[in-house]
Amino acid sequence: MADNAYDFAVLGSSAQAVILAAFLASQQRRSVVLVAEAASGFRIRRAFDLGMAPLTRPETMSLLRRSSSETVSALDAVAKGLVGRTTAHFVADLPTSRDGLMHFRQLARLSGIQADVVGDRALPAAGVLRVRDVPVIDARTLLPALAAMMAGAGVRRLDAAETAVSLKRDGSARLTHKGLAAEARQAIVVGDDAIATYLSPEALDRSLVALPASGQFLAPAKVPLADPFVSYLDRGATLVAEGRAGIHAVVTGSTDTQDQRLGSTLRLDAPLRRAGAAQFTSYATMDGAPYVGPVKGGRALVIAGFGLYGAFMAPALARMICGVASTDESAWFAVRGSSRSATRALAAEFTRAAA
Amino acid sequence: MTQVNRLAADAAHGFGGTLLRRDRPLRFRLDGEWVEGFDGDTVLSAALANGIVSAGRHEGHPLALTAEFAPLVRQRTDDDSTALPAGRAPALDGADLVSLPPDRSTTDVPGWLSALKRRFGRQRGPMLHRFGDTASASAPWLAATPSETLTADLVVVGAGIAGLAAAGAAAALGKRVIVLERRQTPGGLLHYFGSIEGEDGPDTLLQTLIKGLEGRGSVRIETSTEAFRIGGGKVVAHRVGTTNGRAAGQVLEIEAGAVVIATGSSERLPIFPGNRLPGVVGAISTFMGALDHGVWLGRRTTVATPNSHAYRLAIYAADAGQSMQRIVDARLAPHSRFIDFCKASGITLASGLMVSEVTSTKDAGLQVAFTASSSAAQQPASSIATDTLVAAGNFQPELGLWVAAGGEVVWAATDHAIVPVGGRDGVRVVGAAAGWRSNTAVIASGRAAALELLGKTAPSVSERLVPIQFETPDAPASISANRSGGRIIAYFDRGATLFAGSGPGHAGPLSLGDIAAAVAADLIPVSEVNAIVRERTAEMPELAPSTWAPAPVANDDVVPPYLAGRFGPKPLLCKLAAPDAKPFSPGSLIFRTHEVSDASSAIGVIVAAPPPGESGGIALVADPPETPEVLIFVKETGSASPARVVERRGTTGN
Repeated sequence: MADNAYDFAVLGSSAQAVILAAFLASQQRRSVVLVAEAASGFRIRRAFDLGMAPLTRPETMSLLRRSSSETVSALDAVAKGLVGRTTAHFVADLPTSRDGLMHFRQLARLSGIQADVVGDRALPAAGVLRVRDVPVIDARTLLPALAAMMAGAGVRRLDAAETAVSLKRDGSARLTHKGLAAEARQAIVVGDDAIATYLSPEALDRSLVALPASGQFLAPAKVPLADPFVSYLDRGATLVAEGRAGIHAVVTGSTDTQDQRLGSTLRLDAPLRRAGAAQFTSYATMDGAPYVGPVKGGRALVIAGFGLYGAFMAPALARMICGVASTDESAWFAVRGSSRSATRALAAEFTRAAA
Repeated sequence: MTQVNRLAADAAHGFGGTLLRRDRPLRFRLDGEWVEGFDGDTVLSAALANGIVSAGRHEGHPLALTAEFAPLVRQRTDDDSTALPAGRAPALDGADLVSLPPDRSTTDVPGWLSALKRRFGRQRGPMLHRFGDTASASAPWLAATPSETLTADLVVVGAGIAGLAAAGAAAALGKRVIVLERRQTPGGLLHYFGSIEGEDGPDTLLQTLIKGLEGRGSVRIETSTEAFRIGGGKVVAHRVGTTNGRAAGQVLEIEAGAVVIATGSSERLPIFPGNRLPGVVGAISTFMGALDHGVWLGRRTTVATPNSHAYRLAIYAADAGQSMQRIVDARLAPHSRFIDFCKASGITLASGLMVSEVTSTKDAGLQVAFTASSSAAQQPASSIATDTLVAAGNFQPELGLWVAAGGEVVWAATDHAIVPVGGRDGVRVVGAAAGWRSNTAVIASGRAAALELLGKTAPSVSERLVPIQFETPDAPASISANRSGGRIIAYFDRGATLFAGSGPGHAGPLSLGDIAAAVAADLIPVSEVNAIVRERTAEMPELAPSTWAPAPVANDDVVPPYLAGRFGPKPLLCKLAAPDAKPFSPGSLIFRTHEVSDASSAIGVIVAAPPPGESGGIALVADPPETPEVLIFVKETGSASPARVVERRGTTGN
């Protein structure tokens, strides 16, 4: 193949995009170009990558378990410690969300995952589920850690700031980097940053909604986070402790209430200093299930709405994209595409109340 | 205390302190210690003059008290909301001040322990603060409500020559102008940078510009006033003044038709271990400290510099009676008229060397180690014992307000700095903040920006520099190979962020200087500079405690959407009874036999718990048994409980 022609152009800077590019190249032996932001790690975090989420579909749980295991094995082979382990807490304030959490709990326990209802004195009425030993990836360290492996697998990496991308109706992409052009037969737009950069609102399937979101880095609170990873389902806020350095938070939903919702998750007796913040757009689905399907009016592939666990679904995504997915994988992806398909209703997952 | 770091009143080049009234001495208390000074001193300048050179300790090492890093101070009897920056708070006779410690981190010692240490510990003196990885105490004025509202056609932030030129141009058009200057007097850093051949000298230039404010419009200059917020057509600033003999702060809100940002540039910190020990100072702050307040630390001074401006400082200091031990230049064989003057004055010069490390000596001095600046290996070359190391650095445009106004930035490799790019409606960056260097260009840029903002034709601005064959360009910021992993910290900037290149997990904001240094140290790629500056340097309101709680959402559906299609096309809602009188929890899966536990084989799920005191539950079941005698099994927390269908409530239509 010519140096400037590729099977896939993966567009996106998230862990899901990076790992997908790596799997397409290394496992599926395809030629891949990854267009992503340079990764110094100093940007404010806009997402967290956890190998589990409050899932309520057994087929999703089953697929995630397998795909996550593949992801962990592959990343461990590259660099020990690239995938960590954490204890995740999910907090549900409202009765409907508590029920959803209990559905997830039962599903998790049947899958051999240790998920326990715990109490929180600060939130006596809330349902709090603790899930132990969950794999977790820090996206800030991912790209540098995978650089050598990806280069070895032939993945060409282009800095998104220096690359112009033109998506064609047939799903292909033309990339221009420092005056030199490259072509990819199939463009794959992965995650919030890529969707916001490369797609107009009109190009999105109607199952996808754009939500205002912010990533924030908070100074260490006097009362530190009780747990290293806490997701408040009805407040639209997820918080991750970075040791003594501070707290990373991602808040989605109305900008009018973002600060109040975030403030309500911390046991503050005084205002807390913010060390950084970034506003962005998060793309989610109203039904809570991810979207894997074409852009409207074209054939570029869009991957969105996975939430926490998207990075760990990369192996299954790679197989689906290359047409070698297993039967159950194919069935899973088949109902998570365009909203024009009536089967999408069969994929609905638990999703939080709008805020 | 005595004023051990005060130069003589008649020191050459105005280094006796042009702002001081030596005929009005004063005394005030700072953290319980008497401090002597003069009318015209700030709390900071008086403290430095009295030998208070440390702001506290960080990671076990003393941290220099400087113009860029000084705790807030307040009257002992007042509360923290009245705190003022030590560099803008006037020294007042009889004041009883305390310095504020940094915000507590979980590792800080309790206040009562600090007080005990202060009283009974070996280390005496003010400002014994212990800094964690967070910045210093929050400035209370950031959250304060403005107490005065003003209106202006043009707000100029910065009364250096660019700002004064902008104000003059607007005044000539009959406009109302408000100029905000954080220093005590206009002029900015004009006297530090001086003039080049063909330009008027600094004093003449300043007088001309100030005279130029006497136009048809009105110009109001607010000194000791720092702008800290911009947006929505307003500029918010904090002014420090004296009311009834007491220093007090006030927040001003100015409705601005247009804004000129003339905030100049600050001096970056060369990176080497010990770069913020007491006694290590910047060239600009040293020069202005001497010129404004007659302050000079120690007796013996060594200068390390990547540019020619510091030579002028050294000449002036030598003329003022200071012992200039050596000037060490990172550039190899540099040339400049100031270097020629230094040679003529007999100061020892060395080139091609940079500081590799500074350590404290037992006699409260410094041991400065040098290495060849051109060598990647950075082997030790020489060292010197000194009282004061003037560590000059590159210049970073001060762009905090520009970024806050939504402006963008890029890395300019030739300038080794982050510079503004693009435009914003109603806002212009001028002068050194915009990257201009000569007085001619700085002044012209100020005038042009004002004219442009006020709808007039603006002349083009062109730089006027001394040719490089006569003036060697600045070297890039030096970065010691010892900067990481050592015992002593090598900070990336001079201010409150205390960032030492430790990685992205640094707690607290980053400064422009931190980011510029991180780019120079290859920690941040150039393409990310704008995004990181906008995300991590902007002043942000603190996150307040909140009692927000989600409102219940009306929901008549017993069966949630995530159960759609789980149990066939037409599952039935059923009431289940538990023969063992057990209540079932929502989410518990239902199986035909008790042996099966694969979730995909479930025939149903509990969707609602029974009312309190009752057993069983409401379930969604595919093809439930026709008679209650046939048991089905509800699996929860590992155990399978038998259940009977006692009531069918109809299909869900899912």
